[in-house]
Amino acid sequence: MTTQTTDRLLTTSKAISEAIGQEIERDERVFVMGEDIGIYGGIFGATEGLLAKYGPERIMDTPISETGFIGAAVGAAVSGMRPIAELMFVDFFGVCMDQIYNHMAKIHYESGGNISVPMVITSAIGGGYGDAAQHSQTLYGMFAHLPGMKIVIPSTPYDAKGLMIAAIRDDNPVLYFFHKGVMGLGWMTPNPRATGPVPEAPYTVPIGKADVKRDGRDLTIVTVSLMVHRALDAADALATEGIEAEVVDLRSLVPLDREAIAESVRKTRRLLVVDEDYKSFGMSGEVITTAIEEAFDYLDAPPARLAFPDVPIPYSRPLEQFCLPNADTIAAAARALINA
Amino acid sequence: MRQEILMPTLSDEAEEGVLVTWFVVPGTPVRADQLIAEVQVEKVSEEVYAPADGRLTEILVQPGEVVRQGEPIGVLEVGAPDATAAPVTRAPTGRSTAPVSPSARRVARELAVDLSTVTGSGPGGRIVEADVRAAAEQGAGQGPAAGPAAAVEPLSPMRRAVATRLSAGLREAAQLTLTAEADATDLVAEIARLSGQWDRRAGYIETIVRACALALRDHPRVARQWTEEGLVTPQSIDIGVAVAVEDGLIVPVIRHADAKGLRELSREIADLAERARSGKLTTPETRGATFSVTSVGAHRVDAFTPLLDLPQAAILGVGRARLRPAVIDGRIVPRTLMVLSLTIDHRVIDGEPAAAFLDRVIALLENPGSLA
Amino acid sequence: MPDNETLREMHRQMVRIRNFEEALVQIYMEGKTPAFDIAAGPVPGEMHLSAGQEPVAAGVCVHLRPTDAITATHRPHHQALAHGVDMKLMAAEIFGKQTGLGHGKGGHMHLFSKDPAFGCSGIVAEGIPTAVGHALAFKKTGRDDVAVSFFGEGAANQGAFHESLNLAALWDLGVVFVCEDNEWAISVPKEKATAIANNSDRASAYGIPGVLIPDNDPVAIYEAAGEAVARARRGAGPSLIEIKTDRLLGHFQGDAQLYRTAEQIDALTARDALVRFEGQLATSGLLTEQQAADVWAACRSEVDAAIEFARSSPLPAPESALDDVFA
Repeated sequence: MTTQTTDRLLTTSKAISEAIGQEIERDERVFVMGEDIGIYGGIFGATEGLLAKYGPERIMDTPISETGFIGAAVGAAVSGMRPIAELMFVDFFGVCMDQIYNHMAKIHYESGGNISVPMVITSAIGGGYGDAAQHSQTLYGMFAHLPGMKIVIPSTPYDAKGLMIAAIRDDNPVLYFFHKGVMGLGWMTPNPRATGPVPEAPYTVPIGKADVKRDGRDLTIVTVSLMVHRALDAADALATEGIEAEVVDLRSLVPLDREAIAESVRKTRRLLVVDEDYKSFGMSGEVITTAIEEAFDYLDAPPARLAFPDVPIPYSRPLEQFCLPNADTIAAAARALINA
Repeated sequence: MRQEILMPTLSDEAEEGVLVTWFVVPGTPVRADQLIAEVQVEKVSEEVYAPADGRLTEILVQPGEVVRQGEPIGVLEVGAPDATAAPVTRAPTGRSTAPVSPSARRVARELAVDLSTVTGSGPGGRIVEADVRAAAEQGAGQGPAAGPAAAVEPLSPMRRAVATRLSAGLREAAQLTLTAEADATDLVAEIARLSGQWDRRAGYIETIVRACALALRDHPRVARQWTEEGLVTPQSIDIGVAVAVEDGLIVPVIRHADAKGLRELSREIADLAERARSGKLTTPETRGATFSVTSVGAHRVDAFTPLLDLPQAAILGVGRARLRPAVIDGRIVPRTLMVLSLTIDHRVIDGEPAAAFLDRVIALLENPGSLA
Repeated sequence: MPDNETLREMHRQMVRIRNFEEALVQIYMEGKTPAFDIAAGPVPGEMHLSAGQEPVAAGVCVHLRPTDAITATHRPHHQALAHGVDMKLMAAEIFGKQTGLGHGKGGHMHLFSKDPAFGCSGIVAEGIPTAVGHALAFKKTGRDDVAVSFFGEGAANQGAFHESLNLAALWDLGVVFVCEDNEWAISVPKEKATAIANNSDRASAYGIPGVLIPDNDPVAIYEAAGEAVARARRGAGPSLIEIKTDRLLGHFQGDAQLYRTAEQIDALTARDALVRFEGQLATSGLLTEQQAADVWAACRSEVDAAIEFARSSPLPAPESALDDVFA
């Protein structure tokens, strides 16, 4: 597990805003654009306190013009700045996707490596609190499918700060997705795993490296974001039954740490993927295929997955909760896998 | 037996602290010394360990809640935890053209097992790795697996703890052992004299602890501890004394050993050993040693290689004291000789300073008047 | 100038809407105290209420037939109610019940009705091109129905707004674009987001008429909307109406509104258009105190009945989450 030698605790949202603030201080090319990131501090707290410290030249509120300001971030990055643009909800990508996947992600390649686009797009993902079809999606599988952009998705405050600093310092476009449920916000359902140790000095967490959040010997659970918390809860319950689950937090989807997936499956022989994104054509399929390609001879049971069904996210609580994986359903899937 | 787990007292000024997080869920079996919670008082955080084997039945303070030092934070139901769940028994199905899992195929290749002779226990009669391994144990081709052949004794918490700590120490530290012979003839006489004086039996162990404590004063670098950031010199000389208990080992700690005379050491060691054997030691009493002493002197072992319990960098093993021929002034005379085995972490201490320390210990033991 | 019956009807709609929104202020907080948890209570998720913006709905929708199509936003209740969407079914949908407009699948930001034709969505400016599409269908099938697109002043900075106005003008489509300017995106005020003072001026960039209603006056809105709807209905093409309206509550319920002062909020309450309108009607003798009280009582009962229907309706079966993806 990643070593954390500090007893200072922060929520994930505070870790993110601290990371951004430290990079703003260190590098005058870094600035942030987005809707309600100024006095509001970001709808989910990612830029809390930064306007007051660094002023409106570094923390710029924008109109509701995603194509405009995200496209502007691309241009600014090409011209030598290191912008961070916040797409308020990942669900809003539709209004500006061309700038993201066709322009930001392809310029470096199309220019034969001559021009780089060192920018970060931050965005809130995830549901589970009744925000319905257009405000609850995760969608990282879709973005990961398109070449040219790195994707990081922290699940802990420690990873959140390290990955943000790494993303800002990376010369490539990085999508930084944070789940609303891991931010530790006071107005959402309390989540003890949203608070954790965060060293005060700047540090990086490597992009493209997964992290084993819990060692185990009986099965491997691979997942990302809030589902890491749910998997850990399930693992605690399973441990009382003598089943030791290993929980692998991918932390990055692009690049994907295929070796970490394979190594864990070689150790436990059984794989369960938990995915809050839509089931088909996404992250869960890619992880399972990786396990088969790299660790086929070590599989003792067919790999399994627990993912959001291929339906728009329903509003009403029993419907949404039926669709989302939770600690109980993860534990049940793990038990089935052990007996499979 | 219900035992409350208390909020540690970490500060004299503050009254309250925060329960930061629990590492176990209520209802979970816990082992003695298992990490169960983290608390914080002002800037100091402290880990809380289970005081005994049992089951954590209640959590009284939630993460993030404020609690006064000394107040109960949880309840432990003391007693042996349930045995680990029995392995799932699977009934063989006996089908002939059964599917085989990839892992089973690999192991069959590695162990030269003929798959056509193996019965699968997986769904649909699938042959899984366990089936192949069981078949290999019985001799490949001799019939279907009949279930586990050997009896398996579940690991006790003590066994697990000893295994984990000592093998981790071997992996991380660079351990080597120096041995040297001490002439304990005068020491034996002194111990007899003290027994008469104290009106209770004196023993080797307190003299050795005292000698080590005094030697550590002169050689403080032997007690340093390895951290990634650098070597840390402890503030006090706290010596652990290994006590053999049923199925294992406990090492209670004598705090400020250099400030205690032989008699006090003798009483304290005896008391700690007694409580260790009857399971009455508290967790703080076994934490924080900066040096340890371990003795197999009651057996025939002369020298051995004691293992370090990190982060300690040195441990002294004591062999048997035995009357043997020695050479003094060119003549062979019977003397009581005893081998001391000092294991050190070479990352922290080099051979030469370690040998110098060992010389000092022996010098003190060979001149027992200096131990008073 | 609207006739007396119309004035009274507009007043009634505004009172209905106000009562519905105020009931939701209380209901939304059920289960969410003492510590606010957005996921808790009978109405989880976000809630965007339209108190203060009633004149827009009343002044425009009173001109519409049920077959005229409306596309609206994340703050849709006033327009939905004024257009005749069934209040009981709407309330049930907001409570996530099986009997709701979307059987609990849509929720408050995704209310859809066939009759009257009404749809709304949570992505800013998403509905503007859709309204253009309704008008396109009407033109192709020879219907003289009209499409109305409601959106906020923030949406006027989205590309979709500009594309839609251009397209509707280019193809001569019967769309009424209604920009509800309540001055605030979430925390960003209009003057920090829009380069010009009035979005109605943007109409000329597309060669269509643009009208500015500066003070949330239902009568002024009624008149401008009447002209625009008539224009659209006779095939003369689209128009843009910009209405400066007032958002009395936060952007969403639970919004601490740290971006505007208590004085600013009090000033809004002081010029509450509903109160002003009632005063005007009383002054011109169209609405006695008793009549006003009767209207309020009747609306309160209607709202109570709708809420009661919602509360007593069953929740949908969990597995029904998998239904209705495809026809």
